[in-house]
Amino acid sequence: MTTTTTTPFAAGSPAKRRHPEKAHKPDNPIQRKPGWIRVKAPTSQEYNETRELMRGLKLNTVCEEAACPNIGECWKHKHATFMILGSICTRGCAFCNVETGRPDQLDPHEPDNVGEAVAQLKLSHVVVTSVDRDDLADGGAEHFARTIRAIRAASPGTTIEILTPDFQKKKGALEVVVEAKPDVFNHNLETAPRLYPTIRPGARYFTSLQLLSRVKELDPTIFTKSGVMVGLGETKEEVGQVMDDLRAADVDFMTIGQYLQPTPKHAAVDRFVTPDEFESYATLGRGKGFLMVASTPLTRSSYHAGADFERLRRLRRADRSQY
Amino acid sequence: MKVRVKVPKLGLTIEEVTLAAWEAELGATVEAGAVIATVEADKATYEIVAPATGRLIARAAEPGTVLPIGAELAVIDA
Repeated sequence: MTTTTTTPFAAGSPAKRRHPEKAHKPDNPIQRKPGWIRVKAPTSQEYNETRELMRGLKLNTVCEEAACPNIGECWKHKHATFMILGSICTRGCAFCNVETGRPDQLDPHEPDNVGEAVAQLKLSHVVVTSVDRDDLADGGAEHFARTIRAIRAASPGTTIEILTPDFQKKKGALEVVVEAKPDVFNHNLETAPRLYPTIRPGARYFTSLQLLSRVKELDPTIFTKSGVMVGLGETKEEVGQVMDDLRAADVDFMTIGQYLQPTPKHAAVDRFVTPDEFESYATLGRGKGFLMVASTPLTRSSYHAGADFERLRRLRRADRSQY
Repeated sequence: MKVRVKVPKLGLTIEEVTLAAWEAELGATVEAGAVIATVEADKATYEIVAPATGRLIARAAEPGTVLPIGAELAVIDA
């Protein structure tokens, strides 16, 4: 595959400022994208309105921070994914474009501002994620719970999906979040366990699996969800094993999408998985018993999350009516 | 009326793109919403659509050119 000239990682460049822990790493040239990694550039009026609202309420979105290619499509429908606990992450995953370093002080108004934004956007379903906050005693769990409660107060009809960090196994953290009763609890495994040391070095595969399993133990009514990126060097057998592990943890919904390299300092794309292979993963996952599997090149954790949640609810009802 | 098509803001951290291809000929009539060019950023290829119906009277760069966000890409005589 041909490569294209990439943005240089010059001193003072945004990439260097955003990811100081990667500054010493050699460049991985960014590959030219295949035809199926193609989206409409964001230009709609709704996109601009959503951006203005976020700036006005001093809120962060993972859509912008991660340079998500789906931002034009999602924001056209005002489907933004809020990123709480500040904008700076305390980990340094090799795939992620979110800024890393010394984190911000927690904004005590952030939960209420998220609630206000959800109400203003008239969202029927909202996704809230966060940076990792290993510096906080509870990993940010209480802030998550406050945000869920603030959304419920400001917009009672909105269903709430959270995409959380692993809280570093901090005692009682998970229980605080589950107690706030989100409708969907998502925690991404991100990749196969063999690749954790290079791709997700601050995390442990089985810690993440245990977290998902524990959510279901604490509250079986909450839908659980997890996702992986492919194209990082994993084998099909490894993806199948991740599926088996997620099913053993009673996870309902799995998302699978292509890894896209944010800067030359991030992990290189090993290969672009074809749309047919994504379909094959979806078939494999459904056969393993997930209620739902979303598997396309541009699938992301919160892509089409509202419509998927409605489908999940219908499928659970249909599943239960069989017994 | 001349409508200037600029490289749109694609995210917080994307500062420039590479013009991948023109999808409309110079002098051609383009419909509002039709794809006139594609640009490549680090994560994806983005379609640039015509903001208005009219004749494409200027194409500011050749494929392979690196353009900053906000740069003029084309002009449509609407």
